[in-house]
Amino acid sequence: MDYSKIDAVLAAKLADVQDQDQKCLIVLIKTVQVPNATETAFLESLGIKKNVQNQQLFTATLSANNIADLSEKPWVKYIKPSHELYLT
Amino acid sequence: MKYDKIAPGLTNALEDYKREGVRGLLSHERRMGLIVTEDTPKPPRVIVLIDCDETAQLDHLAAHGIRVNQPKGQIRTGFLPLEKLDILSEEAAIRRIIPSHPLMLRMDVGRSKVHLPPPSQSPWTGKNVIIGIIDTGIDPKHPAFEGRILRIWDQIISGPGVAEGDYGIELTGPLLEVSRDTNGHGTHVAGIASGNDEKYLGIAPEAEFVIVKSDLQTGHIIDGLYYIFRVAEELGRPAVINLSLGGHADPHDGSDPLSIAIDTLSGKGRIVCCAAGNEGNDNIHAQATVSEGETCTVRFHVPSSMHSPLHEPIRTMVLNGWYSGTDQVEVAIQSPQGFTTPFQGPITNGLPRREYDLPEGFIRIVTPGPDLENGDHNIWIEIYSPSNAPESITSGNWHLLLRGLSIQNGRVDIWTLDDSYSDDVIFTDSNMQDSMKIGSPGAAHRAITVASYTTKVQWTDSSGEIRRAFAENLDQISSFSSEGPLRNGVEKPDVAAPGAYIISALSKDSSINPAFKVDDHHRVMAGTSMATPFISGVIALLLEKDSTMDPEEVKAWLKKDSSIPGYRSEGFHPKWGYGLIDLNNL
Repeated sequence: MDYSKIDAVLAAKLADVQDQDQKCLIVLIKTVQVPNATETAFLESLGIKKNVQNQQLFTATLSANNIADLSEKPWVKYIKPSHELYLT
Repeated sequence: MKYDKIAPGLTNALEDYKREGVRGLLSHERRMGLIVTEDTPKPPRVIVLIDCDETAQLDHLAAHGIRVNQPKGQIRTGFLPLEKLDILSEEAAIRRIIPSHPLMLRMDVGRSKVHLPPPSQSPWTGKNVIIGIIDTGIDPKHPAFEGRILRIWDQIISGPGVAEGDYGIELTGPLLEVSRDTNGHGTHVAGIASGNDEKYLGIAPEAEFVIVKSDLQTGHIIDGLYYIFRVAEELGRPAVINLSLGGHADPHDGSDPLSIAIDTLSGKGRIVCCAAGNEGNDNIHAQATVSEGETCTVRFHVPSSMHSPLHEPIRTMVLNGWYSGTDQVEVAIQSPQGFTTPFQGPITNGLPRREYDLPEGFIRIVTPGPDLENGDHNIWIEIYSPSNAPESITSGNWHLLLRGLSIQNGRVDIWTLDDSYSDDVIFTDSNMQDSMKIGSPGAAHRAITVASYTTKVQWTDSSGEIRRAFAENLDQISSFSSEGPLRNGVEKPDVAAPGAYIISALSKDSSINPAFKVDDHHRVMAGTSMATPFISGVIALLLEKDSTMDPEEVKAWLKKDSSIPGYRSEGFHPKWGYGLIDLNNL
């Protein structure tokens, strides 16, 4: 796990995960640049969808192990958790 | 019956009722305050204005079912069964009985305050524009939306999902009714933006809807943004997306992922409108200045469940702090009895989280290296109820201690979040600041961020009771509207629009406090949530005129005629933005 790419809130959550393989964490992934074909294939293998051509921000529901793998990729800039908003 | 005291319209209504029963009142209902409830045995009732002697004693009329709301005064309001008008007219002290006119109750109050022309005087209706709403859903059977809901992506119902996310289900046509808005917020918002409703007309009554019913997770909201803009692209239409949502778990500078998504996806004919937030009255933000080698403290108060507004115990709370990447600050937490964690600075090797089990609370402090998007440091502190008393965090005055290790800037901004719904944990010392309370997505730079302006403080509920909102002042910025600017000085909110108290569509599947129910199809709500769809509807009208407008052009258009009533100086105000919009030139 490259913790330098994991934000504070996600770091707080990751340490609590019991099952490292359970896909239970909704996250937002920013890439350094638009993913190439290999990088896109890796994202798709994790069930991460590409919606538009020049996309660099992706959403996904992943496991702690998925996040650890992703954080080690040099083309991943950072991974942040989804937050629940409230109605105004 | 003293007919000379009764206004002619009221006489007509009474005579038509005597002749045809409830059916005879249908044409009168729209013009006066008549309460006709079809599915109960209650007789039709009418709201009246009574011109009488200033000191007239009218209490005895209650015995006849006639309620006079004021004990004295020349002009009073009354509520009575229609057939009791003769008794009222026989009172010697009463000179005149006039029906209440529904102008006070319409959303038209909001329309007129911003000089929005009535539909008969404007060619713009939002036709061929898509209004996307990511919210609690919509009542697909509400007559105000008939035939204009193109799609609902209900992210909550189990299903195969859509291209943007393999969860939930997309509904069209007769299957729209599978989705329900049990909260009611989304339906109300949709009505403001685009309800086609005789009584409470939306801003863009011919726009069409693409709805995302969301669990309000930012990840799923981003998926919703992609979805709505993709559908709009397929249909070749411009679109404005309404986000009447907010939060404070972000850096309050527009660098969070949801704000970035909004900024990236916005463009020509692709506009996003966001609420400023409702924390104007809540002390959720503190700002401290830390010197090198020195310690400063920031006090925050955790109420006991007895004293919290909704009597809920606080079991978890969070302090979300941000400071410049050029500084290094250590933090500690001190509980009410003085138990203190060790100081903790930025941790750049391994997991940057440490835990401390104090007798009065379980503390988790996360202090990573600089954020990779904005370069600043985040301090994330979670406080839980202690293991020996799991029902709630110990109430009382807690302190955040900040010690400067290496300082060039020194400013630290902190926001509180807690698990109540009423922002019960607050800052209580001089570090508290009524500023920078606009979080994501209102912090998105390219979003149109909307503050709330109060245009109505009184309404009549469906039982005829007149309700008054005492906390707000008429024709002022709503006190609850969150203040800007952003943490990095970016000017937010952008503009203000009517947000209190707004009557709009009621979802039949939602439960509602009767005080806020106006009739079987409408309810009252207040918030920057209500101001935002007002602007979304206006943007739909602008996009109908020019489908290529981008966010910067929309903002410039809205701002150029906006102003703060009674305020001479032009320019940005942290509460009003550039002021109340003026649509005279639409």
